[in-house]
Amino acid sequence: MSAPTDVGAAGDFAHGAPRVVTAAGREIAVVRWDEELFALRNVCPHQSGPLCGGVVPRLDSPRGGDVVSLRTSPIIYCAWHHWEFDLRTGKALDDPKLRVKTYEILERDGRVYVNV
Amino acid sequence: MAVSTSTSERTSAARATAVIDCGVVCNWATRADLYAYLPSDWRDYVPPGQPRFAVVMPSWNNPQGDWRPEARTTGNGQAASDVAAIAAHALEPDVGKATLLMDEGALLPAVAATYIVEQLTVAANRWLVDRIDEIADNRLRGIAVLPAQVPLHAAEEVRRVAQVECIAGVHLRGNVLGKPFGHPVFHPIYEAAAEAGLPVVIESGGDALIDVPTQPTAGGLPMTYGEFASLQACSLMTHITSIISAGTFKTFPDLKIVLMGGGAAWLPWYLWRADAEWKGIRREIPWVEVPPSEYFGRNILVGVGPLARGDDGSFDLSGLLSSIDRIETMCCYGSLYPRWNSDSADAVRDAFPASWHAPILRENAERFYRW
Amino acid sequence: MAVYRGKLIDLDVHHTWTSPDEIIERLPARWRTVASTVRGNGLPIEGPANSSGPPGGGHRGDSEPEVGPPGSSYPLMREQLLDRYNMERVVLGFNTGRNNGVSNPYFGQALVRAINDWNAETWLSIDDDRLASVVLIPGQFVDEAVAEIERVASHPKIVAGLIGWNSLGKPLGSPVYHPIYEALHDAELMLNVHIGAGEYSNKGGAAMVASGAPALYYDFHVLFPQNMMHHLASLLVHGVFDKYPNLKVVCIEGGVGWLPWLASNLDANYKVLRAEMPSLQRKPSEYLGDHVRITTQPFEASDDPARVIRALSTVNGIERMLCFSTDYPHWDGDNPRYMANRLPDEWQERVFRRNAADTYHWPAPAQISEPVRA
Repeated sequence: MSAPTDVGAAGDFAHGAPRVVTAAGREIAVVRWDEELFALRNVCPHQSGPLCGGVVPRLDSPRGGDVVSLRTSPIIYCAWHHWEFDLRTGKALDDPKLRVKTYEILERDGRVYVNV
Repeated sequence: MAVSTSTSERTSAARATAVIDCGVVCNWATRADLYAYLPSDWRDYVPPGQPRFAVVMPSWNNPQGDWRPEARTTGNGQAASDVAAIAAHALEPDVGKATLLMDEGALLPAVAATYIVEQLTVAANRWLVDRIDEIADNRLRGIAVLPAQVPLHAAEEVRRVAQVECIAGVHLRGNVLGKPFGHPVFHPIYEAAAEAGLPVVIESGGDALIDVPTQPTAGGLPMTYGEFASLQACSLMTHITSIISAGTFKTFPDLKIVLMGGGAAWLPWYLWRADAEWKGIRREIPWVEVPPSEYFGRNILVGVGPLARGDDGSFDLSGLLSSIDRIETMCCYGSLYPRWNSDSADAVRDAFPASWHAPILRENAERFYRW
Repeated sequence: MAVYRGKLIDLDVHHTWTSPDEIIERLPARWRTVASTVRGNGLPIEGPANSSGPPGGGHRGDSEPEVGPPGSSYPLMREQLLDRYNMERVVLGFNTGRNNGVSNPYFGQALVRAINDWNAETWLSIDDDRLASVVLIPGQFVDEAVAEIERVASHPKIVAGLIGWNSLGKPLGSPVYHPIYEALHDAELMLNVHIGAGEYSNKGGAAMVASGAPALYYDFHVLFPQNMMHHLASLLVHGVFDKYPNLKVVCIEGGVGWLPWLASNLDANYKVLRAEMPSLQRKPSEYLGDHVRITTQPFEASDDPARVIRALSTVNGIERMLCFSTDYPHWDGDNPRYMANRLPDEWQERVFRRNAADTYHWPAPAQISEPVRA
C-alpha cells in the first residue's frame, strides 16, 4: 500500500462543507462533521455526477408529517439527483446494496491524509 | 364414497376459483327513495316532491350513453337503479363475492349543500344496506359512502358502518374539499378505516361535478368525454401520490386503499417515476421509508378496469404490465357493471396470463376487503 | 450493450440571461418601470411559479457559473455539455419559457418580444453552429403570437415555436390555438411543448395536476407529466395534424412511459371520440408516428432497463418517436452514458441523433468522432 496522501491543512475542512481533493489520481470528497473526518469517492453510482452536493444530518420520522433530526448521523447527497449516502459507510439510504467507496482518513500534526 | 367426495371436491373447487367482483355499480331510482332513511326532522326540512337540494351534476357524459342498454333509465327512475336486476346479473355462478358501489351516492358528498348532503350520505348507506338485505344473497356486500366534507363526521360514519355486517369497505369519490385525498385533514377517516379493517375505495370521476373546485385533468378541462374518459387515471395518480407522500401508511400501517376506475396501464410509468423521484426528493418526505412501489400490493390495490385495450381489444396490456415485478399482487377486478365500459371476468382472463388470474380475480381482494 | 459512438442531438437544454437587466433594457420604455419595480424576487419577468422546490435547488449543484444563474454561461455549457458529450446540436429552450404568463397580457407580449430579441442578439449570435433555439410564443393574443412567429421565424437557428405558457387555460388541441399552429406550419417550424406548458400554478385556468394542488414538491414533480398527457391527447383528437400535415409536436421533459397507457385508452374510446369529433380521421395512436416526437428525459428508471423497453415497445414505432435529451442544467437531467446503458443497440443511433435530425431537417454530421463519455 502506498503512503497516505496529504490533502491539505486541517483548517481547510470546515464542518459540513465537502471539499473535493485529488489523491492517487482519484477525485475524493472530504467532509468534516463535528470532530470526525470522512473521505468518499466523488462519483455517484447513479449517473456519475459529483457526489459532493452537500452534507446534512439524516432525518428520521416517527409518523407522517413529523421529523427527527439525527445530528450524529450525517449523509452526503449528490450534486445532480440528490441521491443520499451515509457518510460513514458509503451506503445509499434507499438501497443498502448500492455504496460509494470510502477511504481511510486521518488528521496528524494539523494535516489531513487520505489512504487510497 | 367416491361419488360424494367428488361432489364436495367440485364445490370446494368452485369456491376456490370463484371470482371476487369489487365493483358492481348501482343507483337509487330517485332522491325521494332516500328520504325514508332521513331522521324525521330532516324529512320535514325537505319540501315534498322531488326537491332541488343537492343536485349531483357531472360535466361530462358519454354521448352514446353512460350505461349498458339494459341498465338505462326505467320509468321515472335513473339509470342503474334496478338493484336486484344488477345484482342478479353480477352474481353469476362463478362469482364468489361482489361489492356494490353507489354511483351518484359517491359523488353526493361533494355537493356544496353541506348539511343536507351529510344527512343524505348517511341515509344512502342505510338505503344500501336495506337493498342488500332484500336481495338476501350472502355473496353480496356494500361499500359505504362518507360525509367527508367534515372528515371527523366521516370517521364517525366509518365507525357506525363498521358495525354493519354487510359493509365491506368505504368509498371516497367526490372531491369534497378540493384537495388531494392525502391531505392530513382526511386522516381521521383513514385512522377509523384502518382500525375497522375496512378498505377505502377511491374512485376516479370525483372532480367532474360542477360543485367541485378541482379539475379532472391537468392542462385545462377536457373538451370531449372521450378525452375525459381516457384520462381518468390522472385523478388516481394525484390522490395516491398525496396519500403516500403525506406518510399516511407510516401513520396508519394497516390502512388499505383500492383505486378504481382508471384501469392499471398507468402503473408501470407511475411506479418507476414515483420510486425514482423518491430517491432524489426523499428528504422532503422522510416518513416515506420504503420506495413508494412497495406500498402497492401491501396497502394499495388497483382495479384493472376499464381494461381499455385499444379500439379492438388488441393492445398488449399484459406485455405492458409484466414490465413490473409482482404486478399481479397489486391489482384486483371490479367489473364496473353496468357502466358502458364494464369488463367481464372472461375479458380479464383473456387479457392476462393464467398465473395472474387467481390473484387478480380473487386472492388480492380476499385479503383487502372485510368479508 | 454497445456504446454509441456517434454525435448527439439534445432537444432539451435550458439557457437564460445573466441578469434580468438584459431583458429589461430591451423592453419598450413604458414597461421598464413595471419590470424593474417588483423584480426583487425574480418573478415578474419569469411568470408564475409553483410554491415549492426540490430540497437542493432546481439545478445541478455544479452548474452555477461565477456570475449569473445556471444556464446563463455559454463557456460553462460548452464545457459541461456541448464539448463533453460530443454534441452535434442542441435546442435551447429558455429556463422555462413561462414568462408570457405574467398577469398583464400587454406586458407579457412586450416581454416575449424582448426575450426573442435577446435570444437572437446573444446566444444565437455566438459563432457555434451547434446552437439552435425556439421562438417563444406570446399566446395571450393569438394574432400577436402569429405575428411574433412570422417576425422571428426567418432566423436560421430558430427551429420551433415553444409553448412555455398555456395562456388561455385550454388543452392545446383547442381551436383557439390553431392559428398559432398554422403560422408554425407555414414557417416550417415544429411545435415544442415543454412539460408544464405553463401549468406551474393552480391559479391559472388550467390546473397543474388533476384533483387538487400538490402540497409537496415530490407530488408536483411526480405528477406534472399529467399536463403533457392531456395536451398530447388534445392535439391528437382535435384535428391539428389533419389541418397541418407537416407539423410535428415535440413533447419535452415529460418522460415517455405513460404513452402506452394514453394511446391504448384513447384508442379504446375511439368510437366515443368519433361521435363527438366526426372530423377525427384516424385512431389517435395512428397519428403518433408521423406527428409526435417525445424526448427521453426523465427516462423511466427501472432496475432492469429491458423492462422499460418492453413496456415502451407496446407502442408501435416508439423507437422512431424518441429523441434524446439531457435537460441541462436542471437537477434531474439524464447523461448520455447512462442513457446508452438503457437503450437497445438498435435504437441508439435513432434516439441519440437521427430522429431529431429528421424532425428538424438537419443534415448529417460531417464526421463521426469520439464515444459517449460518462
